[in-house]
Amino acid sequence: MRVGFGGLVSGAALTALLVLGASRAFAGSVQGSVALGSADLAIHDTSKPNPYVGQISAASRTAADAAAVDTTFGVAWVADEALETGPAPAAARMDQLWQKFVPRILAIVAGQTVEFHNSDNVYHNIFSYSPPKKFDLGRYPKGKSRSVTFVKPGTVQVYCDIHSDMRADIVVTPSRRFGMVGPSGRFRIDDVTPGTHTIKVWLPSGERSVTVQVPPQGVALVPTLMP
Amino acid sequence: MKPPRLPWPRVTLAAKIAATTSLPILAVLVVALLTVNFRVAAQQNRTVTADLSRAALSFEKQMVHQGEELKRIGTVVARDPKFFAMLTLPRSERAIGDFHETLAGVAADFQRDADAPIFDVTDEHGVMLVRGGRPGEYGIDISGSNLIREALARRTVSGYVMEGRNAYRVAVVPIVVGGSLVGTLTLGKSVDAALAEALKETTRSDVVFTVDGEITSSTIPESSLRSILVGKIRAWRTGAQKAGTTLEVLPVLGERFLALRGEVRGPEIGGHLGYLLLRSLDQETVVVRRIGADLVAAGAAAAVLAILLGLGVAAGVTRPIRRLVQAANEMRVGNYDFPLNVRSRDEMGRLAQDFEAMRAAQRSEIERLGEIDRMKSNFIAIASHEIVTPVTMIRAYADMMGEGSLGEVTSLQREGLAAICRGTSTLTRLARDLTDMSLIDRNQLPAKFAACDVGEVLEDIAVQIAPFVSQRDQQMSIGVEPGLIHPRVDRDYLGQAILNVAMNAVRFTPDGGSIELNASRVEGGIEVAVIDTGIGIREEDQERIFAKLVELKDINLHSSGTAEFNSSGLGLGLSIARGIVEAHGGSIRVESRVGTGSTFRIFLPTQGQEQAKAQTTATDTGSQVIAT
Repeated sequence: MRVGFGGLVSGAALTALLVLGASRAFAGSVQGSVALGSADLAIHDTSKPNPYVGQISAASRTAADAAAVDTTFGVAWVADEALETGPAPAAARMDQLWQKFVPRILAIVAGQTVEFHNSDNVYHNIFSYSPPKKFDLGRYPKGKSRSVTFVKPGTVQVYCDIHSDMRADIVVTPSRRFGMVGPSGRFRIDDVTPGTHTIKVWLPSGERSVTVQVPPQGVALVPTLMP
Repeated sequence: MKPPRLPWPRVTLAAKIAATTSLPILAVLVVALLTVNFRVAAQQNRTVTADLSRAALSFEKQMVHQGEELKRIGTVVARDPKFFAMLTLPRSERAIGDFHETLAGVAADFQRDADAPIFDVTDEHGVMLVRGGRPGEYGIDISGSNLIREALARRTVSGYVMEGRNAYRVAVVPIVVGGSLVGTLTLGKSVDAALAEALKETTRSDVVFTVDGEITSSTIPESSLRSILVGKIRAWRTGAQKAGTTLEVLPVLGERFLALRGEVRGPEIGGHLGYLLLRSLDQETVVVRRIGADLVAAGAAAAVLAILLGLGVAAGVTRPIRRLVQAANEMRVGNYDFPLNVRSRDEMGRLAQDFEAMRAAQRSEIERLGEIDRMKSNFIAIASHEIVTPVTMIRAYADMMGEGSLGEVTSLQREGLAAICRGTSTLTRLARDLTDMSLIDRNQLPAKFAACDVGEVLEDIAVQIAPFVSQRDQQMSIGVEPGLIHPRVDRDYLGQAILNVAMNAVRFTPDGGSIELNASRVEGGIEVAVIDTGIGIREEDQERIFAKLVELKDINLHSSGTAEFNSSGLGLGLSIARGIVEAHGGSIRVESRVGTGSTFRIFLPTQGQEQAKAQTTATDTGSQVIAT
């Protein structure tokens, strides 16, 4: 899918599309959208050829195919929720496929583990200098995977030291109250405790935040967040 | 009288031949030497100049290359995720914990790999994040400079940074990640003595780096040469212009250096970096000078050889000529036997043969003439001797008849008899003269030498001629130095010689004239002078009067008594006088002016006569035949 628009996706018309699926007795949802800039959209821009694909893999799949399955452009979460105390969710998976990190942007809950799989025919490396979690898993070949558990919330930049174009961002949120930003810039966070909350949205171009009043039942609509 | 040997010519043929054969060779050698020296030196100069220009070009290319290399290394580093990942961290996270320490560690790792003494990193606003220079060496912060501004505009640039006496070649690279500028990286290397040494190895020139005209590093060791060079460079800088390179010959400590001065191209911070390439022309021309010296040596050897060859050729050519010249010279003094020793078969050999034949012919001719002369002298001697006897008889009978011993004679008859007596006297004198002359000719004068007072001889002569002098109304004076003893004189012959000269004076001096007889000691001997106021002798006749049987023009018989004026007789008198004087080892000469008078001087040497006398007394007691 090609995300052809460079402008804003208005969130105003989306209020009619409310879907209520309350999992808690008194819980609301936050629904909103962000204006995606060109820097944000560029992460899945397939018009720019990947310098590595094609040289190494003879696979017929293209970079466009890889982009088609990865439609995350950002992460939105409730920033003032307390840290999750229960057992961590099952390990999340991040692939290195077609010389890309898939997904390009991954959201996990603090304490959750991520398994890094190498699915390419070449060696890859994964490392990060980010303060929430610095690590270097070294280089390993296809079929191997190594795991990292992220305890502190924050954003972690992940690189492969072999392929300078590869980049992933892992957003470690304090709780499960988060949602993904889609190609149109829309996001939805469910199961939010009613009250006043700070909502943060991480995008490649930077973080944005907004304060919302979440009703006990129903949806809090967030006006479109501009950069 | 034999002619003397001629002196040898001052400029010999051999010298001329030697000169003409060796001079062209010498000239060619000198010209060749000069030409080679000049051309090789000029070529050397051109070569050194070209070498220096190439060295400068090479250095500048090296600088360009180094700039490009630093850019390449910078680009590679800037694209390395392990490097740029630090710079992509959100600003909010840089304040947390150990961001700067981690970045410094990462930078240090990359700096080591890049092998760059300077490794500076700024953020995307040009704010310095980490300094990778050697502590205490590189402290200049170029974050506000043009180079950094260029890099912030995403251009990769190279340039030079000067800090005090240190110069650095730097490249600044923008760090772009995913299309975003996240910072700049500055890489630098020292432009120092190590580089100068490396450059010297490849260019064979001494290398000097200068910052604003001051020497910062150099391959020339610290010395007086270098301190002088500093002054030269300062002076040179004042007239310098930025673009291009300049060549100049720098005389330093008596050595000539060809110096090329240039300045680097590219942006510069903190000063101007210049370079100087130096090469000693004198050291470069050592080989040329050695070749020149070899040529000189070879030339000198060739010149000596040429001269020797010339002399050899000249000697070979002129040896026969010299022999011929010597032989001819010997012929002049009567030696016809000088060996020629010319055996060559060329023209010289032919000439020698012809000379030999000519010499033989002349010799036989001379001998034949000599034989004839001897026969003539013998005949005269015999004839004159034989004539005396009948003349004596005629004289005796004429005398007796004149005295009346043979009967009465008339006065007329007596006069006739007196004339006969005079005629026989003349005949007797003539016969005696002829005898003497032939004896002189054959060197057979029977002289008896003994010590004798020449003054007395002269006085005797004065007595003898006195009657003739008075007959002619002439005045006679005599001046004799006392004690003129000559150790070796035949008194009779010397008397005859002086008498002949004196009678000559009487005869050719008009009546009433005067005659002076002097004898005195002179340098090396005794001189007898006979001075008259006679008619004189013409210049051209002065030598001839001593020849035999000479007849001068305008002689007329003129008598005013027994001694006829201006009469010559047979003309043997002076000739005999000379023969006698020469038999004494002396000489006779005349000084005369027509109409004024004549002076005859007889010189008798006394030196060398003592030894001759000693020999004479030891070997011979009687008459002696003198060989002249």
